[in-house]
Amino acid sequence: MEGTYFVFWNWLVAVYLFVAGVSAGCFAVSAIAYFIGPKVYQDISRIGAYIAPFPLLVGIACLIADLERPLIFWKLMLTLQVASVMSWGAWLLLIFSALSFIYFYLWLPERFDLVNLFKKPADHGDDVETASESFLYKLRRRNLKKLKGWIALIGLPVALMVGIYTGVLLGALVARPFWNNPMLPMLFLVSALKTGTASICLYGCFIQGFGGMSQEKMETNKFLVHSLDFVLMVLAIITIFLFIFGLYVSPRSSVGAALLIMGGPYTFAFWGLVVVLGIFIPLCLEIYELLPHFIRQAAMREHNPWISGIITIAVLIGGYFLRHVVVYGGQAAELVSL
Amino acid sequence: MAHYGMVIDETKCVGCYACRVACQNQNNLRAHEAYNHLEEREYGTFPDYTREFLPVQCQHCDNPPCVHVCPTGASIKRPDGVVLVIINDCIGCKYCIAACPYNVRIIKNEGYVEKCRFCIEFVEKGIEPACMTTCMTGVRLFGDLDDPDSEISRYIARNRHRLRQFKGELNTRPRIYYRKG
Ligand code: SF4
Repeated sequence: MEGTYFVFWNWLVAVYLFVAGVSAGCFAVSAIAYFIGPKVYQDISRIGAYIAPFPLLVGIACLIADLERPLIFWKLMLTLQVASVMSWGAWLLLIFSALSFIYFYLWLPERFDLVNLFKKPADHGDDVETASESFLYKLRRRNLKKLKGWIALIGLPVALMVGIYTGVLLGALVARPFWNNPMLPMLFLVSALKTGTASICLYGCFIQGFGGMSQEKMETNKFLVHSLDFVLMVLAIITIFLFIFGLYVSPRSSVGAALLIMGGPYTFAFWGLVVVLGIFIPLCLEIYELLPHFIRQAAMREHNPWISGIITIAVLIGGYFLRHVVVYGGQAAELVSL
Repeated sequence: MAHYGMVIDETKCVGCYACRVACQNQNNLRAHEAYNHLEEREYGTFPDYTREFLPVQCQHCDNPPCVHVCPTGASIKRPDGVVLVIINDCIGCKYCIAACPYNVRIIKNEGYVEKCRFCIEFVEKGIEPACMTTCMTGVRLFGDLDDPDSEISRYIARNRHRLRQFKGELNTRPRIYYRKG
């Protein structure tokens, strides 16, 4: 049976790893933007908070659909198996989705405030507050800033952990040479942050649009998104290099696994889609955008929706195919041989 | 407490697959399902040629990665050394399939993961595992490793230098010993 393998995890798992990364990335970028400039980068924080909870829901659906017995998935939530990364991950996802929904709620405009739901029109005249109303009121109006800050602060490490966890899930398996590489979680984390910024940019540019946004505001936002992206791209290149290096300086089985992407069946998907489309093309466009700012200290270029569009879509496609190649490649790689 | 283990003398294996069929019968498996398989390898070109058959089944590792990774605790290691799946707790996440270095776990159509159980229900009654009963060359030896007087313990003591554990470098500490030469 040597040379035969069967695919037990299909693209559903790849989609899950991808969208969990997008969620984690959106939350993390939103929180970071909130910390460096709660006022200045408000739009980025807001969009990030708007996106964060939803890809994860899709991801959890994929994860459950991939189970052979989806109906008893709740058994996951009855125990914590200390040695199992997947068990930790299930709890982590629960905590993270709760946090991201709270964060989402905090960023909603005032008219969606839950207080409105509980307020009966008749109550308007008198000062009597119902218990729930006063609780929500306290939660919301008075402490909004503080609350946002706290949730962002608690959520940031949790989001980063989710990003890392998707890699550790695969990296913890000593039997699978393509996955058992310390660089894999790092690769997934960087890619998660990258796809997070990309989805924020995509949402900002094409769904929300720039209606009413001043030139200056747009420039500040663009600057942050592009600089973050730029740093992440460079990190991604380094991590990919170290990932492949790590495969080559390991035992024979790992070298065999490396061949999958160095001439084997996943070469195009990896180098073409993940590296060139997902990293190099966006990186070049980022440099093109940022260059005048860096060299001549001049203002940014005019906003060009094509550039933002290509960067974001390319990053997202690259991000998915990274998961795809890793999930399928890891199963195709021969098990550690004797 | 007994601590079960097995020795497989792969030099005696002729590749007839009787053990696989016996196991399928014993465990009511469908034709495409099997708890043990033969890894066939060919070396050289004729006339300088040789081939080997390596019977592989769950190694009942003492440091079992499949048990560590199971998120619901359905994969367990019993005190007598046997690794089992509690099928009612298995949600079919297949993480253990990914974790096992020996490629011996399968998904049953019913949606849970199963694998060789050392025929533990029979062993407890004093009957040998099914894979041993049909083997015409006596490839396998099964018994209690804790009992220094058992046949298998004495065999291991005498042949220690010829025995090795499959993929032992992964620190899975298998309970099946292979005899190569
Ligand atoms: S051989 Fe595989 S299934 Fe059996 S105990 Fe070891 S890791 Fe688990």
